[in-house]
Amino acid sequence: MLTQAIWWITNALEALLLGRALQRKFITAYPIFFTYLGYVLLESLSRFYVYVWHPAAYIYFYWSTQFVSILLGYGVVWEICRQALARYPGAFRMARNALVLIFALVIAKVFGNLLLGESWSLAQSIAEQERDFRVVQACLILAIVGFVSYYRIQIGRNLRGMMLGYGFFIGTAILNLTFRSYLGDEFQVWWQYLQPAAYVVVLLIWSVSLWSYQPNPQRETESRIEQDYQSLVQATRRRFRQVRAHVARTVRP
Amino acid sequence: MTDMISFLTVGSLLLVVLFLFLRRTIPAPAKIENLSDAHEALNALQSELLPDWFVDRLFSEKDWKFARGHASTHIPSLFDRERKTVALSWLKQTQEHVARLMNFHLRMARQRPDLKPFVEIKLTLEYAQFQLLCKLLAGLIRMVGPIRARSVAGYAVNIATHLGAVSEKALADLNNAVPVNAGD
Repeated sequence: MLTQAIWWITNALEALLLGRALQRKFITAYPIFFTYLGYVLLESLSRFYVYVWHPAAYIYFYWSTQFVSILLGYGVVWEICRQALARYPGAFRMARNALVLIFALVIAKVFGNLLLGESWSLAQSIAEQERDFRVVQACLILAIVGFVSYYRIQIGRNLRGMMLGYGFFIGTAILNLTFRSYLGDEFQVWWQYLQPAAYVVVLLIWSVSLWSYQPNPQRETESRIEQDYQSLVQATRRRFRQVRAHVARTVRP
Repeated sequence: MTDMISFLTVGSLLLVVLFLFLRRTIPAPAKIENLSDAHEALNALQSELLPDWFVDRLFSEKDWKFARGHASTHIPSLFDRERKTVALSWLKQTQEHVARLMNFHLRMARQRPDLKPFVEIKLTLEYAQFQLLCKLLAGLIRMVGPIRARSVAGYAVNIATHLGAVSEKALADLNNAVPVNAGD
């Protein structure tokens, strides 16, 4: 009964978020995030259909759709990174290098574990893989938070909420999946409540922070030193264009 | 079991970091508003706080011996107290100016598409080392006085000098890039 209530609440909140973003026309501002949200809503409804009409196939359907959702989750992490740092080429470059490095290292470890692993129960094994992929996402989010804090980058309410919500989801998913992996079926009873309940909290965070379009602060609110730097860059580019045009005129017969 | 602990640590760490991130509003770094402020901080550091003669004198044994050689018992303790106060004030100002320059550096660095990640990492570690040394130095000055802390002060000065040099180069690069009129 409780799980059903949670299921309906999550669907309603997802639909509300998508509807609101559509109505306020900021769905295209965060395309990957809203694609993820739309996918999760569709996934939830299709899972319900499979659960009722094809219960034997449910476990396979659940884990295969879960993997698509994990992959889209990487897209959300990338969107958070891009939205937060894209206006700062230096910080973005640092973050991109660090993220690629972290991703490569952790993926190598995950596949190493996979090749050497001995667990053959489908659900158990896939749950462990999901946990490992979530750990990669956690490391990436930690790195992004680190870069945003280190470079003191001001972020808007939308992005902050997106980061907090998805981070909370990943953190709780890792804890739940770890307990499930080590405690097995004993934890299953708790898992079916804890994971969806955590997701409701995530959706509430997103509902509050993404209720209206509040992007990152514009450059006007930042200090003059960056404006100085940007104007220098633009002026130098203009001068280069002038020099290039002048050289072209001179060289041309 | 070790794996379990490491996974739980990552999950919990993420939640804690996000909680702190939620509570903390990222301060708009307004200590340096324009290039001339950065020049000022650099000049103060290079010409007033970090010259060898100044640091040598501040942590000099010579003055201390002179004060000790005085017949009055009041003079050495007064000297210790005063020199400690001056050394701590010097340390605080040096830290502030280096922090302003690092702030300037971060503002420049986050905009530069040609940023060199390894140089950035090295600089960050150097700054972290400087901050740690400053904390250690402050503790030592308070506990044993500036004279016995001179070797640590030497390390801190070396790092501060290097950080200043990096900022100086960045400022020079910026100045060299300005031959264009704003209205161009």
